Amino acid sequence: MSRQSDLASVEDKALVTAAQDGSTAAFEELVMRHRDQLYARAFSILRNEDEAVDLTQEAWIKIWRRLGQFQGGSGFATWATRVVINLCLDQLRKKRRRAEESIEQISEESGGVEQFLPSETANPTLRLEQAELREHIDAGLAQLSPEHRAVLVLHAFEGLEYKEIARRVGCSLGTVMSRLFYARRRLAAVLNDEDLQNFR
Amino acid sequence: MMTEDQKLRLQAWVDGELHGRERRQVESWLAQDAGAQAWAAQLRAAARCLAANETPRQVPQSREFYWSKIGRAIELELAADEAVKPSTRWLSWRLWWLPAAALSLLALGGFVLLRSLPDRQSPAVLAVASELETPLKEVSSFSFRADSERMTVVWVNFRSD
Amino acid sequence: MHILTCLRRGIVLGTLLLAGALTAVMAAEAEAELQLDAVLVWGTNGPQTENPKLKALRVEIRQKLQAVFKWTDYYEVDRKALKVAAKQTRKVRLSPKCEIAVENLGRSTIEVRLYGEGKLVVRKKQTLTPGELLVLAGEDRNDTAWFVVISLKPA
Repeated sequence: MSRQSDLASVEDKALVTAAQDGSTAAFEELVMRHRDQLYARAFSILRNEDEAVDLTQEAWIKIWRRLGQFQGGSGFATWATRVVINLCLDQLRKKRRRAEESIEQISEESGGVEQFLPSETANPTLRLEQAELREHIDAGLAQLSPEHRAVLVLHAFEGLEYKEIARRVGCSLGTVMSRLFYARRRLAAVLNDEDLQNFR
Repeated sequence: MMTEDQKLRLQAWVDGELHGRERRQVESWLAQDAGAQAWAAQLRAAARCLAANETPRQVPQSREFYWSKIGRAIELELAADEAVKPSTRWLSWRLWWLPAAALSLLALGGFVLLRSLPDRQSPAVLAVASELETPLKEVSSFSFRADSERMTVVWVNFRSD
Repeated sequence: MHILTCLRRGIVLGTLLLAGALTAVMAAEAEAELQLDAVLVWGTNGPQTENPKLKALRVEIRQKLQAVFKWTDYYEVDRKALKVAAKQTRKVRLSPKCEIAVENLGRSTIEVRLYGEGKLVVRKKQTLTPGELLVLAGEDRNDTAWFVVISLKPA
């Protein structure tokens, strides 16, 4: 293992340049610096530790091959995250189960005049601590189908526009909108008024 | 009561996806509908709450273990690149190989001498004789070194069908 | 030309030094017998097990495994001591399904052959020095793992 202490204080831009020139030590530093972020993104979509680890390792190898294409327009971490997202979406496409998707479509379309506001909470006046809130949100995300979760993650955490999400996921704008709405409706069950106070 | 289509348009407005005439239409509707305003405010608050509360995660593997697969793949690619380079490059290096060979021989001689001294442990020694072979088709393996723990690991994968 | 002369002398000196050093090292190490420990370890994240066949693992090995791998608990399944003379091979069984053969190649270098249910699974050459561990490992059922930890016996 190469010495990393000298590279820890070098900024991303310089590490990328060195890695583009063939420095595996510089690339290793980039991997170590950003591996958690990329892993978190992969896990948020795939919801499986082993798959997320394997996929991000595959992504890093792909990033090494494509380093020449990185021109610094966005930050390195943003560019690398996009590579991970594309691999995740490819994986979901391969695993897609048509039967489950059509069942979910039916439940989306028959939502009728259901309100967005959560209709049931165990204790609506109880304020959740942040860690607990994150756990509940995480549990809510885990319950979504991969397709709904992917759209929600790309919008809520990556800040992508509907059009961009539709392009990456390979579906229509209308599908993005309805999946996002459905996912948000499911997650609303874990949020109560007290928790949303700080975000109004 | 709002229709599904109205809710989707309101969602698009909250997310900043509407422009021009469509945006003005929704804003005009919101100005007259307190229920829709409350619904949009709730949606915006929920979206912000979600964005601010993603659970941070860490790779559930040590640094060395995680890097080993990546490093190996990169090494294979670099070795493959070297193999296809034209051999005429060696000719332009002929002025340099003599001093390089001399320095290498001196270094190797000194290194082997040091290695024969008792209780002297050079990390470079550990790179010697590290061949790995996995004869079964259904098994793959890779190896890596965890320097901090003075450990060489061979990880064996049994492929499932 | 002067530079080339110096370089030629450097090559000759280096070669003589190398030859002398190699002779000394080979004479000292060629015939050494190796004394090794081989431990079969089971790694798990589950609750503490009551299985009487599992024993506590030596602290220093446990700490090293915990530092590198994701499992939190490690138990010794079996431990064997091996004495392998130069150019000889010793085979030991660590479990009903797991055997290793260790060949002493001289100069503190061994070749370890791991057999699972009688089939050769992996072959690894490694130079061992005191305090170093060679670990052959893989995943087992229910998110557990097995490890074969080989080291030089402390003097």
